[in-house]
Amino acid sequence: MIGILILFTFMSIIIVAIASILAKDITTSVIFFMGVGLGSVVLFLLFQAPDVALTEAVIGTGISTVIFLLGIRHTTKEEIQS
Amino acid sequence: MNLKKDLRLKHIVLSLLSSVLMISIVSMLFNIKTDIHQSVGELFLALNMQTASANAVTTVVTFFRGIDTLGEVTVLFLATTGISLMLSSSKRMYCKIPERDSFILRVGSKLLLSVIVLFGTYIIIHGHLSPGGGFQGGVVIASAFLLLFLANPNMDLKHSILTFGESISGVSYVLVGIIGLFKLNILFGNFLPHPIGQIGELVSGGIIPIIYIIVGIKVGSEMTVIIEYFIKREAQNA
Repeated sequence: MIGILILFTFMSIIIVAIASILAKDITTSVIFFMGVGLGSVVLFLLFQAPDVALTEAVIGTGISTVIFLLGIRHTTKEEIQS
Repeated sequence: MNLKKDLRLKHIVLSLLSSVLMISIVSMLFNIKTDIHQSVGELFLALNMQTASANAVTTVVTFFRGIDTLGEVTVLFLATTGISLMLSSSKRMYCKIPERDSFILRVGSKLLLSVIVLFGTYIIIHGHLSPGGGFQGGVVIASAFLLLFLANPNMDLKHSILTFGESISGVSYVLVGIIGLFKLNILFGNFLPHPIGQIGELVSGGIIPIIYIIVGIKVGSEMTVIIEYFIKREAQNA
């Protein structure tokens, strides 16, 4: 049962990562990248590493996505003005 | 013609060098003795029983690999310094988010703020008992400040308090390590009493909870500064 769950999580991580690469819009790409972090949180939990899972959930899924989105907002606005 | 020859020679030499590197790395990988019974994890688990910390990962991070954690904290400090050099200005900072008055965000942030800060504090204080620790709890507290910034964008934080907390925690982290060095001849030695009978209690594990509280304050203030610099920009000359 857990093996099937791990396999499913691996597959979804790979699919979301490919979608993140192929996305046309950069904001969509960042959201898909957040999905990669979410999948790896589930994977770390299944492999019984709750410390790493908590770190990934807080930093990989939360703060890094926010910082990416804020950086995108800054750069695109400057491009439009110039 | 000559240029073409040079390029070809360069490519051949580069591919030869990379193949030699590849072969050596692969041969090194095959020569690793994969004996599970001689792994380092068993040794750490046996040593963990002496430190009376219920979470073995915490012991490895703060005690056996204490100097690594000091390096991580230094890297985060340097990143914060670089970001504030790049994004800060002498003018008054303001927020570019158009002030759309969102009722749900305003009320929800007031409700959630205390809960998020409480959860972060719990993660920091229970670092030696349950999964988590200073880094994770500090980032959770910083995300509470992110929510506060999104709810009222033109809020001003007192930078003096943040800088004071960051520098005090950095200095005391190094001081704890140096006291351990003088008392036990080990950097980050566990110089406080840590009886094994107290394992699983809130006050146990010697200096491990103290180090995690210090790291939590430092990471929380640094991440809050980073988020504020990313949200606000200097005033435009309109």
